[in-house]
Amino acid sequence: MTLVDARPTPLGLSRRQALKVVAATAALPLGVLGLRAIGPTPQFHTWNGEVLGAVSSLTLWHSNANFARTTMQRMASEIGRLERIFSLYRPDSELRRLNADGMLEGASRDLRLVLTSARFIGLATGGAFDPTVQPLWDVYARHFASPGADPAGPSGFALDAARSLVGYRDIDTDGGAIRFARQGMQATLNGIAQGYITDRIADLLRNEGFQHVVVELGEARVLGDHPEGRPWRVGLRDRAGATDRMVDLSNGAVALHGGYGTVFDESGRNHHIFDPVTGRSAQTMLDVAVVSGRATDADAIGVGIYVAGEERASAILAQFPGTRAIITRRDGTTVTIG
Amino acid sequence: MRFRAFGRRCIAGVVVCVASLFAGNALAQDRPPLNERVTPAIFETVFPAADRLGEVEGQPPFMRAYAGDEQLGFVFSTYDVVRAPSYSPRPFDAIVGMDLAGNLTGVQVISFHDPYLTGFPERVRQLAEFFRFYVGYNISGQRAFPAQPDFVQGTTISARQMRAGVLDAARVIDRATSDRPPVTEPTLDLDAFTVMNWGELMEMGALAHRAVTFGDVREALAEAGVTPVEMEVPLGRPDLALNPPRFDCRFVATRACEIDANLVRENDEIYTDLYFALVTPAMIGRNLLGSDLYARYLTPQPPGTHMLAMLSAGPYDFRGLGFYRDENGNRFDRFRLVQGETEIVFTRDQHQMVGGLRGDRPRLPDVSVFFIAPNSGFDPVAPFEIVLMVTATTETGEQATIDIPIAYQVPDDVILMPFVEPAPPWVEAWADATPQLVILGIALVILTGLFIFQKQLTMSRRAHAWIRNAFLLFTLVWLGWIAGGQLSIVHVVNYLKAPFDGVDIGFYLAEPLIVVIGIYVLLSLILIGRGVFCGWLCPFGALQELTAKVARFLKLPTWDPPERMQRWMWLPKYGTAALIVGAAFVAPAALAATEEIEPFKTAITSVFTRPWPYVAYALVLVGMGLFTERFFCRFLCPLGGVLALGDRLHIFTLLKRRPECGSGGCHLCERSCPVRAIERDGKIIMAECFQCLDCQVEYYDEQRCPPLAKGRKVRERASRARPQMGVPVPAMAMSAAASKPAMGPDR
Repeated sequence: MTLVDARPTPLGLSRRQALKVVAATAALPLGVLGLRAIGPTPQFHTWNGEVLGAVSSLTLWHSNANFARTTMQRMASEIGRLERIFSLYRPDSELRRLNADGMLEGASRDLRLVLTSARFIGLATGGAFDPTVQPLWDVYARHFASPGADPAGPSGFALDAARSLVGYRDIDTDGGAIRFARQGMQATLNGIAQGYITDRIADLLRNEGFQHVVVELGEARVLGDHPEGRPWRVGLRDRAGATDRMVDLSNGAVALHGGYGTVFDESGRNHHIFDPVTGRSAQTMLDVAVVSGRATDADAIGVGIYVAGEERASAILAQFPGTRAIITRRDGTTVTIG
Repeated sequence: MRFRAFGRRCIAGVVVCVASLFAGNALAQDRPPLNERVTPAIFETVFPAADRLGEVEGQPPFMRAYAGDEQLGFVFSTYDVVRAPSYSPRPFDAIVGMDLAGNLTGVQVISFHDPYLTGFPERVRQLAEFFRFYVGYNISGQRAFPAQPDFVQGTTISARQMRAGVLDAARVIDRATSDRPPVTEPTLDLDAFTVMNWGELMEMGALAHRAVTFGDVREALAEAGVTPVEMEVPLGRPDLALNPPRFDCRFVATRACEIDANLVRENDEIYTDLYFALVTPAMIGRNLLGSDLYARYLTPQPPGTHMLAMLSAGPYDFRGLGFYRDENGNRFDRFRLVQGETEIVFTRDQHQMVGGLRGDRPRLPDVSVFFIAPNSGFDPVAPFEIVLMVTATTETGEQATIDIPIAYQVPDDVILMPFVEPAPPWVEAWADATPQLVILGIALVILTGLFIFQKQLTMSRRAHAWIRNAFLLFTLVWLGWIAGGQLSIVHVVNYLKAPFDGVDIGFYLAEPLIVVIGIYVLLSLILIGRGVFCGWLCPFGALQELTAKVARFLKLPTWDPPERMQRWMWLPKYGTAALIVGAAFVAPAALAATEEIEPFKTAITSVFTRPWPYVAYALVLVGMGLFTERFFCRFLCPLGGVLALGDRLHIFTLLKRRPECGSGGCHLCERSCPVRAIERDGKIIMAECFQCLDCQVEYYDEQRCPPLAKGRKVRERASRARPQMGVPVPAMAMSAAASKPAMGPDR
């Protein structure tokens, strides 16, 4: 051993040892590179199913096929549980029982959360979003189902009766039971329940460490970016069914609402998005796409903006940080707010 | 992957669903009758395999679709059945074809009022395209949906609503036309019937068949040690070459021929060619006996009676003559029915002679039907045997009977199975994971064995090193990288949150490996401490330890904190655990971020394939582990923190100590402990112990453990001083001691 070697370096290591330390530290990243080269490469794993009547899928990007499969089985288990709460097809679902009886004892935490979200967004949109407009739907459906229906829509009298049953503040979730304040009230959780399931599964997957995920369980939400390093590209279907419009999405949800989605008559003026104040179908814009962190919010805010109109949109969006809306006006021009 | 949604379960409820959805929908019946709406072109589209349609029947109405005389399925209209709206409140109408098994054969939408379909031929074409995916789709919904969703977000589409209407209608028709009554246990399907010929019945397994030859009977008698003197159908002599027969009894089946004891019978000549079947199900009985006889025999019998048809050719028919004899109780003595404990011997009043049956089938001159009484204990869906009996009188005049059993099980096609709720996803997960569970089970048995026999293990330094390294390699490569079985703080969080989350048990059970490891870790934590998991079953721990072993081999420098400092450094892991568990309850949005303290997802579950910042973090931790053994485990690991807390409960401490340890003056184990869990006073801090057993290797090492070495030296000195006393000294020990003085701080 030479004198030079023996001279300690600042850390008290010999030069020889210091070199070893540096070499070992450098070897680790090389080892990882090697592992990445020979080990499994990540790929998309997809699960297809049906959730609340909608064709659904989960797409995970992961290198361990075993882990991805197990995870999807767990998610399927959780989706099944949530379906048993929100399904309109199962007579014994909590939602069906609530609408049938006007009250529900021992409701699940999930149903309460959805109703709480609905109430919160109802407040934030000044009542423009209201989950209790189901009686209006019934009036419209009955009106247009009869032959020779007045194309202007149901009579003011019929609407007044139904409007008296609308009011998101009148769902009492405070006590042990969920209760409608007035007999005949009905909640439609269409969209918001799907949004809740979408969020719930997305949150579970994020906590499991999945970084590139597309959750489409009635609503759409993505985690992270596309594995290629760009945001996910989401096509927005327009009135004609084309998907020319694209929204870049990372770590968020997008929901599209247009009056043309579900219409009662051939003019398209009477459709499923009701203004709870007038009882009539809202006529503010062609459609609105809301991009938000959570699918539940994106869905309900979209309805709220569609009803409230462009001028109130920014006030609504201001209450939900990180949310923006792409509004297509009736003249076809587009504006992005938020 | 298979996942069933509400599908099958809704079948029972669908009528209710539909009724409640459309009650009060007072729509005028303004559509033409079904048979007018189903034009030949539409029929061709929705049911290409069928060539004609039956009359409109039933309520809701449907038509049967036939190919020739054979019914293939049904054609119906969604309008008639469920009157489902799509996105117009005026219901759409789709003509649907469905085969008998519930598979859709075609869907054609013939009327709709959706404004954004009306006047858009391109979209109508897309709709047709959409439904083409559903050809072959089973309405039970037990398969994933065939139309793969593309990632397009739009307002809800008519097609989805229409699809729901089509499936609902199909389920209603399936239920309405199903002649299968609901059953609660496997039940014989008495009524189902389709025309089948002999070959099809054989293929279905409806008939049991056994051709018994003279050779078989000779062999069976010989086996039973019976030398027959007299038999109903004598075996004759098997020597054709020496005694050519007067006539060939295979073709001239006269009684005279059959009982001629002098006849020459070759071994391959048929003794009896026996067929039998349970003919109570119409599917078998009507096809085998003909509709006329089937009804004539079955109708007068009390309900619950079963019918057994026996058919045979050959000299030894199944009837014999016993049933003619009153003194014999009119019993049939050539066969009996055996089902478990139940044995049924038939008598004359349970017998119906059947004339020879015609048709495209083997010539079987002897045909009978036997009736099995309802109270006989016979279970028609369980397997049974017909035991053919051949009786011979021996030289001593005794009667000896040999049994030739022939097994029968009524085919599944005529058994109605109760509707079984499809298994929940976790059941599938366990079935999928069976091979992995076997491997894991073996590993856990081995690990348990290592702890039970740890004395034997640690007495050999080499064996311990090999076995431990091999196990760690298994834990890292198989358990971690291949099977993805890394237990993590995420699981702890999930389990802690379970009572508040409403998540059901299936969610946890769907992870078989983690469930098994979790239970094992919990048990081992209570019994001997956290080290069993941390030291043996944690893939990331194994990664650190194995890389550190390479570092020790390369003689890299090490650094360990002084004892006082280390006591402080042990604390952050409780902090990280508290941070993550706290985030789970207080700030769920931040949970995923806090969980990144754990590098497991990066280094183990996704094998370093995550983005570079995560990989860099994991590498820094592994890198620190090169110089400070298990740096992450000892000071930072939140899961380790949770387990170390739980470790306070453990019942047994298997690690052995001597009075000399620590305060007694010896610090060998303390220095050999790779994670410095032994303090100056010799106490093992079990919450920090990884159960690597290195200290136990020292404990049993006669060369290194000072008290042992001292005792050994005393013995050696004694044996050198008094060799004549004959104290045996191991040559090995002596030479080793001589060449390499015991190391260690013999202070």
